[in-house]
Amino acid sequence: MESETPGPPIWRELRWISPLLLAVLIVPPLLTVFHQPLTLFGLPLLLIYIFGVWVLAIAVCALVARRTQAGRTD
Amino acid sequence: MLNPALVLFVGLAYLAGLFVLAYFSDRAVEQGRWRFINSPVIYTLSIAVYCTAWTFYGAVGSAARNGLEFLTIYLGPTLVFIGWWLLLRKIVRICKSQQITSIADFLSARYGKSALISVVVTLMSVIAITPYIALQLKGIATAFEALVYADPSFQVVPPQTGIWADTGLGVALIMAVFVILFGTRSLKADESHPGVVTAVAFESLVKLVALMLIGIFVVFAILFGGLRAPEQEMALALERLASVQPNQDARWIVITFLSAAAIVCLPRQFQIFAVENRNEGHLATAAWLFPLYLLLISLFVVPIALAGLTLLPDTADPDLFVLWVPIAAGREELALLAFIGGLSAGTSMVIVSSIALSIMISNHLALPLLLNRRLGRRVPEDLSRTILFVRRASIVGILTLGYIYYRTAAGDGALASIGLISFAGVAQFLPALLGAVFWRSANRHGATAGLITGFAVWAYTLVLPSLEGTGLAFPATVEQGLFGLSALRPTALFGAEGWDPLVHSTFWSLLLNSLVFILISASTQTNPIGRLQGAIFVDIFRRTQAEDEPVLPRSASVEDLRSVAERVLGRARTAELFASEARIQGRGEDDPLPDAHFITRVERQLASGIGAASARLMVSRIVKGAPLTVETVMALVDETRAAIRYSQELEQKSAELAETASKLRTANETLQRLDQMKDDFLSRVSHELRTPMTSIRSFAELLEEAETLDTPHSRRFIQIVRQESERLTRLLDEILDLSAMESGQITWHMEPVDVTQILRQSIETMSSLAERHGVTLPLPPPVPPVMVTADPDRLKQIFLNLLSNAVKFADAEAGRIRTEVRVEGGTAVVAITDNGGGVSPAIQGSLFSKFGRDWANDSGGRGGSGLGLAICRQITERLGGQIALAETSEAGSRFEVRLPLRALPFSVAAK
Repeated sequence: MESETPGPPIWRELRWISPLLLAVLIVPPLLTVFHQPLTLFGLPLLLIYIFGVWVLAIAVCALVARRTQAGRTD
Repeated sequence: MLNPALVLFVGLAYLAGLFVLAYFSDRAVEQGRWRFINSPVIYTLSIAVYCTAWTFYGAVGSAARNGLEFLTIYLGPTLVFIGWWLLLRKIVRICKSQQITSIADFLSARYGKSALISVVVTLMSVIAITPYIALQLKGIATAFEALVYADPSFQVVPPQTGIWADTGLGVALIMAVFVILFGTRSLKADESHPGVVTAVAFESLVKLVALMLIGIFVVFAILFGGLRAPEQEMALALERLASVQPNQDARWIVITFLSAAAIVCLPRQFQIFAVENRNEGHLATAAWLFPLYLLLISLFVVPIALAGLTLLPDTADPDLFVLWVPIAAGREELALLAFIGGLSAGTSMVIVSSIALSIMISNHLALPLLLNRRLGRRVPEDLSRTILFVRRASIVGILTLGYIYYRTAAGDGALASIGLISFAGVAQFLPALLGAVFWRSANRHGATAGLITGFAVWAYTLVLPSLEGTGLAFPATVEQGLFGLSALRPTALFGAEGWDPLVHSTFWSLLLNSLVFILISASTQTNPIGRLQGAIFVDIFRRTQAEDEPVLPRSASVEDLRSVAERVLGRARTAELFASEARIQGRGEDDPLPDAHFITRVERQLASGIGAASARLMVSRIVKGAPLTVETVMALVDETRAAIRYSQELEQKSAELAETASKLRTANETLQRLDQMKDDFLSRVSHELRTPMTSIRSFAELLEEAETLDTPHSRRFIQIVRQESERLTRLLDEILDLSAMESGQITWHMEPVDVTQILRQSIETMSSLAERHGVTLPLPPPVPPVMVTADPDRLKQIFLNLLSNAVKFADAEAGRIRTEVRVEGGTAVVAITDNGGGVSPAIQGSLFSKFGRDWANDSGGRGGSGLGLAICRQITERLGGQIALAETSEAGSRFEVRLPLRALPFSVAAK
């Protein structure tokens, strides 16, 4: 059932580490650190930070799902 | 602006197209075609029913008002899906194995199939979702009015009379017809609606594409095109949009948390991700694809808001920017697209919500009444038609409620704030839900009390203040608190002054909810079914699929089972079910045996139609259950745990055994050592006896062979024979003495004695021997009487032994022995010191044991038996004291005898 997940352990551990990490990154006080009057390519830093973290989380989740679900018949 | 007839036509055409799509996909699934419907992408898109008209219109409005706060609505669900492995997967697995029909059914099934919980959750859902449905009506109606009735300065002036006067009513009516056609066409086996799911997925695609097209248009045509506002104005607006409101950190966290809770607890979300899930593996894809969807749909919110702020007049309602920005840019077809997007967002939410709620109402409110013997007498045997009727009626009821709320309370107020009230309401399910899947001791008393508490606090602190100005409010209560107590003011409960109302309400309602839930669960016991279900839910991943889940032992007749099943499932499906079970049991064409497993299977099939609590009620009427005892259930639930306990006990036992074995080993070693000592003793005794015997015999033989007896030789021989006999006698005496002492055969004459006096007597006795050896033996220095309790003869024996040893071992040339009596604390100490060569280290350890001395070297020359010190020790210990070699060196040795002082020395001294 749960045991046959191929790949190194880090992929399995990421299944719970990544949501916890994300939870810390997307709320204050860490979030408001990036609330600066700075712009990057004309876009505010905070906007870039949030969407950047978001994209990263999605990518990690997709990779983890791929690695840990590989070989499943369903 | 746009022609109302055109907008209406486009809207209706869209809905009609949607219905056709749903109809054909239902048919296709029945016939096994259109396999793409059963795909993770369709599943993900259907979950996107989360994004409603609130998202579609309200996100831009929220961005214009509060900056980036609108993102929290998407970040919360992202968190839950990124962490799908922790919670969602477990819920989906449980729903599949238990044939769960709704969130109320889920909680009720977990908490002992309690009908009360399902009723509470159903009522709470209806109350919490009503504003949310009103929000969709408002969204669609406002969008329609904004497209049709807005004047060039973007002020909406709807006509006051006529057929178009009440747009909301029209929307509600169309919705009701639509949902009834959609969701209640037939009663399905597993409460899944593939047609609805496909249509909802399609709607999700439409709203995403619509918003993204408008976004792309805005970016290229407005922000980088001809309609671009002056640089400074743009920068200012952008700074406002891409900001976090100062001092709103708590609000940010709370909304993130609430939306994370909502993605699980909202009845429609639960319906879609858990009940309608066709394959657990789809969740792994949705885990990243759904967050991606959320990211894409929020990507263009800031640009659209930016365009709205710079392009539209300040008085324009930000919630309508999505519609008006294209109009301001002269692209009416894009505005129509925006309307369709909002319409799809609103309708999909209303469809799924009202289906989910109608299932809950019919299964948990109506059916228990229908199944009641007295009230349900007129109910026809085939329940499925009745159930369908109840569902249709509930859909009409739900939309009516939504409409009433829309007319009374939701008239003004931003979309986002209405939605958040609903979020905070359904978040009250969260403690009971988490407890259901992770905490075995959670029980129905705790869950019911927690739910009611949380819901009451939510209603009091959030809903009541929001009703201000509707005629339903209680201004006095809101201002001054319940009963005029300022600590009970709904917006400043227990003195929490100045908090954001949403943060305030969420904090108190969830805190009290969780506290009550945990405390009552921990302090009460639940019924056997509750414990069984608790184990099934919490340990869902511990059971392998091959293994049967525990079932309650009970029996029923096949005919009863069949009639109950036919009432709910109909003839065809009942026959199918019975035939399949008969095949599993290997009974061919015969009826299956109504064993406990089959009864559980039938009950689960019923539950898939009417919910766990009602199914249990129906089955319990025909089941002749073995009396259900706590022991039975404990036996079922605790099989694994019992095995673990048993192995722990075994471990403990084996540890005890190991300990006993080591004790035995020690005892055995002691015995062996004692045995060895006994052997040594015997061999030494026989050796000791043989030495004098040999010499006696040899001298006797010499005498026998001698011719005359009066030669000096003969005299000498006889003397030796006598000495050796004496030595033999002494040895035997001592052995007898020692063994008598060891076996306790000696009578002791205990009396108060003066140690000094006994020592003096002993010295006097030994003085002649000392003189013969040329050893000085003075009397001890005079001291006051030192009284101990002892047998004087035995005490004297100790001193004589020690003195004779001292005489023997004292320096041959100038032998000198010192004696001393002193008192240390409560102990009399007698020290006897010689100036001999000391005791060799090799024998110090065994000095006081029997034959401890080195016989081979000593025995002949000094004439001791080797038992003297052993006897001394025996006596001293019997007198409660100690004897020890206190000091030894080449300059001499000191032996000390310590005896406890007599308790009352004065009275003795007086005597």
